[in-house]
Amino acid sequence: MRPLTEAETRTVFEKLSRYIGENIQLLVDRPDGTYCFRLHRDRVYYLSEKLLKVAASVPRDSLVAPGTCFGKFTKTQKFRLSVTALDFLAPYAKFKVWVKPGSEQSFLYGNHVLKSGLGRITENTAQYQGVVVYSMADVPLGFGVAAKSTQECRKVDPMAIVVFHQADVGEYVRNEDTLM
Amino acid sequence: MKYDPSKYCHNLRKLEPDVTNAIPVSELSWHLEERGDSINTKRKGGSPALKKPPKKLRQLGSEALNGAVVLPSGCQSSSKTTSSPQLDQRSKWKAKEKSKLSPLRSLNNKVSGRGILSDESNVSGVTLQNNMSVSESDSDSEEEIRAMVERQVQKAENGKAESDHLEIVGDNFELKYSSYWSLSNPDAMKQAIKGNFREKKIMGCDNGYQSANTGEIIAKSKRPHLHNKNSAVLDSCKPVKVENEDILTEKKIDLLNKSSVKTHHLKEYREKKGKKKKSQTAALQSTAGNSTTKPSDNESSCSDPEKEESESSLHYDCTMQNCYRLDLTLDDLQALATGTRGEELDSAWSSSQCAVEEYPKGNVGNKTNLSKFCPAVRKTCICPEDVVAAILAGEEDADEASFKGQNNLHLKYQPFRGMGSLCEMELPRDSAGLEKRFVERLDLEACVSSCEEELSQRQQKNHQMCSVELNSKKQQNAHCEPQGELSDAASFADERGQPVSRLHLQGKNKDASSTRFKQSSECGDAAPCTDQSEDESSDVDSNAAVSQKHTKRQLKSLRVLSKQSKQDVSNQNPECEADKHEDGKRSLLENKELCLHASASKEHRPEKKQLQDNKRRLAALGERQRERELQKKLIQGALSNLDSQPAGKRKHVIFHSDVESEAEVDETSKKDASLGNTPEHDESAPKTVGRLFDSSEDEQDDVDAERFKIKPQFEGRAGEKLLKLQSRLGTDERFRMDARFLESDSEEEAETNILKADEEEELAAEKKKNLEILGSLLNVNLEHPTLTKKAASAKKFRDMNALRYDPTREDHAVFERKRSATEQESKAKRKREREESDKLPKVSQETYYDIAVDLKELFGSSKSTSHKSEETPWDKDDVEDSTPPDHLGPNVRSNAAEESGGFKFSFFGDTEESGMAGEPYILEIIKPVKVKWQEDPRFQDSSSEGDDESEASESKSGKEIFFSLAQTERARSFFFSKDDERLREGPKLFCKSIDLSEERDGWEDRRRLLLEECRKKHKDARRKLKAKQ
Repeated sequence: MRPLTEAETRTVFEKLSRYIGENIQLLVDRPDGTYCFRLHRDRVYYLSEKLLKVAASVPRDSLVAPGTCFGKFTKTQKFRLSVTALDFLAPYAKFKVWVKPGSEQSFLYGNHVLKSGLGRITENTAQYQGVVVYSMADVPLGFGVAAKSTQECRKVDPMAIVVFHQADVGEYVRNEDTLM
Repeated sequence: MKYDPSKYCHNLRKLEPDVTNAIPVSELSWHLEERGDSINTKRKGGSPALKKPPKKLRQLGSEALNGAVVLPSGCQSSSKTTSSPQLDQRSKWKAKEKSKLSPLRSLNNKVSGRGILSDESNVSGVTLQNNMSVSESDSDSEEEIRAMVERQVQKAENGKAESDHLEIVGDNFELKYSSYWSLSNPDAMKQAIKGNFREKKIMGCDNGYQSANTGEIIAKSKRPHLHNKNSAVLDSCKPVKVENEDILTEKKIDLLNKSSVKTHHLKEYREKKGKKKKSQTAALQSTAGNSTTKPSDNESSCSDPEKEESESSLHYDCTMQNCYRLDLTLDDLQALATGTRGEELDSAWSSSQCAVEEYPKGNVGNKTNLSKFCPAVRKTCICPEDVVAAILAGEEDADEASFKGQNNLHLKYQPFRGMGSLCEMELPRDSAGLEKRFVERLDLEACVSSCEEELSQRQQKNHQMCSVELNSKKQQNAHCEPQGELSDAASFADERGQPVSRLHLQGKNKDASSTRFKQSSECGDAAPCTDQSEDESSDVDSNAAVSQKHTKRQLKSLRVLSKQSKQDVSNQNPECEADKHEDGKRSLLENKELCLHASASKEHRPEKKQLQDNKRRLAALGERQRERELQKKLIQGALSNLDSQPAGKRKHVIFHSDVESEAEVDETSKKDASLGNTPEHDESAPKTVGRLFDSSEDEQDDVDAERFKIKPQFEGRAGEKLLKLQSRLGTDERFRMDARFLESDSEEEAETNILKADEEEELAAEKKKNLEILGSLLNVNLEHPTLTKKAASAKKFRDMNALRYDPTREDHAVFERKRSATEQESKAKRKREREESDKLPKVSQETYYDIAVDLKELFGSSKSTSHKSEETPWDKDDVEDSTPPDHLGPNVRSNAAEESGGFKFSFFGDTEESGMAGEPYILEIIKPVKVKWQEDPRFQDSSSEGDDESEASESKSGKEIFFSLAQTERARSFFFSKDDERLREGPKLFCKSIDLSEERDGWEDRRRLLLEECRKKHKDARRKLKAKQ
């Protein structure tokens, strides 16, 4: 477990900023305590200072996960957000997409969101903008990348993909073994 | 006039007939014969226009159809519109259409003809669309039509999409559901930071959500504890049938109300009599714990729904106690459900019967049931109230365990006591009035506090009546009453405070037994009322006397029974003594009585159940006998324990501290309680305790004081460590830890502090770095605000006292005065001024004075003379440098004076002349500026100024002064004297005072310095220039 290097931090923040924009600041500079990012086994964890101190006493080999996993670095040093970060993305998400109840399941099985399943979308969503996917009951289901801008979403045919799937809470079940 | 399709104003003509001849949409056909022929020809005719639009519109689809069809048909076909906004607009349009159809159309047509299509146009926009479809149908250019169709389809789709599936929301869309994350950390934070109102709303929603989940019970926030109780009850009564639950819940509510009312009374009572409340509440608790069936039944029977609202959180404890009751009564309620539960009274009665029947089977069983319930209750505890209640329940359990035997007895007799009251009703006097009283009682239960006095009065009456018969027992009563009072006092001291008089309890027992017998001899209805009244009064007032009177009555009844009366009497005496110690028993009984009375009140028609009663009584009689024996044994055992225990206490007193002894006492008392009645033990216990205190205070005062002194070595963190060490080592004197062993933990603390600080610094640095990265990523200055703030504050505040000019610092150049420039400027200015001043004012040539010749002549002679006089000294001065000028001054003066007589300068006037005349020879310093030749002051005439100098410099020696005086005198003389100072000093001015080499060195040094200075200045100037550039 070590702090992120500058390059890593940059990569992580770049990725995060796609979803929550400048709200990353709220994650980094929290009024309720000091929180930090730590790298452990190529995974980036977000944890409080307290937890950090406690986790520091655990041997590295024995440590499974300190704090909340935000994602992992690939071998090519790209950062991939995992669904476990959803809890921190959802409240700060700048662009949101709501899926209809009928296509919730489809999304939760790892499929993209089609136009037909699109219930609601934040205006001025740009193409390839990171979006957090909610159910119509405003339960965060996951996140993805807008395949079309809001204006385009109006026009496209119902079977067109509007949100590329990135992560969904179904992964908690599907990828239970690899999630940690 | 020819019809031109390209001119849309021509369409007006064509459309007008359409309005009249509207064809329904269903009749529109796909067939296009005429269209294929020649469009132009048909355009000219009026009829083709009718068919054309529909055809095209069909192609367009339904949306286009809406737009297109409506117009030709006019107002009539508007019913087929699908999209609501369009419909609205259309309706508006219709209204307008009627009034100014033609002009509008023409206008619109023109607009559409230009191909301007504005989506946002409201009313006219729609009309535009409509008109366009028509007009296009007229215009017939396929491309245009297609384009229009596409556009319209798009529009329709968009509208549909927007209205149907796709909803586009703004950034500030509020999430209605907030999951755990929003509650956990970030949202509150977000609120704090951003101050978003939306999060608050989410919270609100969340609350609503929760409330929705939890259901109605909790939704009623007025009486939370009540609801909690209800829910708890519901939880606890798993096995109860659903059907029953409905009824049961109602009853429970009633019960709750009832109980709460009672508690309310209790509270009021507390206000009146501070300490008694404790006993009462404890009694309530105990009843809740012990008496399972009765309270519920009774209370359920007398339901006061109106009182619900009156309940407040103040009655929290009491209500919680009641809650127990409810839990316990579930059995009864179950019984109710199984048995007759149609009518409340019946059910109550039956339940009481069932309960009564249950008792003979096994009292222990009941208790086990109770104990079972209690843990269940504990499990169900969620709210703090419940927890508290559970704790109380635990206490009750303990009490139950301790009071097993007696309680069993009481339990058994409680129902019978109600019966007994019935029997008592045989007595003719009470029965008449008491019925009324009973009715009143029901009301009174709602507001007992107000009626307490009345009740007591009634009770007194009753008791008096009883006492008339029970004169024989009065001695006992008199004996018991003071004890009862004592017991009251003792009970107050006790925490639970329930203890009142055992007498009452036994009296009850007797009562029960007596009532049984009397019941067998046919009891009246009014009897329970009397009992009720008495019991309630006793409950409310908890008067020992009342209970004693009660016992008197019972005793009387006991007489009828030979056996039991004996037992009772035998029991009574020890019990009376033991009452004080036994907490809450009496109160329990009272509560039970309360319940019983309530149930009894329901027994207005007991004739039906007399048979059952008889059976019950018989069974209960046998049971009671057994119980009596058992009780006796218990008492005996307790007494024996009492005898043995004081010795043990003494030992404790001797060898243990006060606290321990107290604890011991408590324990022993508990033991006694569990064993049964410990009549005198309690009295002795407090006494011993008191003695203990006394002795300890006397003997161990100093030791204790030492022992409980605050030891400084155990203060602080290091002290804590030391204390731990000490506790590990024990109290051995040899290993006593005193201040010497106190380690200074300052180093460790410092280390830890340093470590902490380091960590924090690291984290802060990391945070800073992260923020920097973030700022660079987002191109936003995230942390700048703070920095700028700092900078701003730094800028704002500058300690002027600490500010010193440091020439080495370049920024301090601000403080340097730029003299050179100003000087140069000033020099230039001065030069200019000088020049100006030197310059003669330009005199215009034109204006001049004609000088009269005679004036010339007048001046001519005098001028020549003055020139002469003036020139001579000038020449002198120039030529003879060596000659001191001071001679010249006077000379000049003298000359002037001499010559002034020759000419008169009109400027000087007469004053000059007079002055000249008065003082022919004045030594005066002529202003040196004006006299240009007096440049060097050293060359000023020393003779003239000798006076001043000598006067000024008094430090000179007397000789010198003398000399100087002489000199001054001599100075007057024109020539040099022999040892004139001037002669000595004069050559010095011409000779070198220092060596040439030295001078050269000095000059070289100076030169170097000057060079450096020059270079520096040059550099500075350059730099300044650069900076400026």
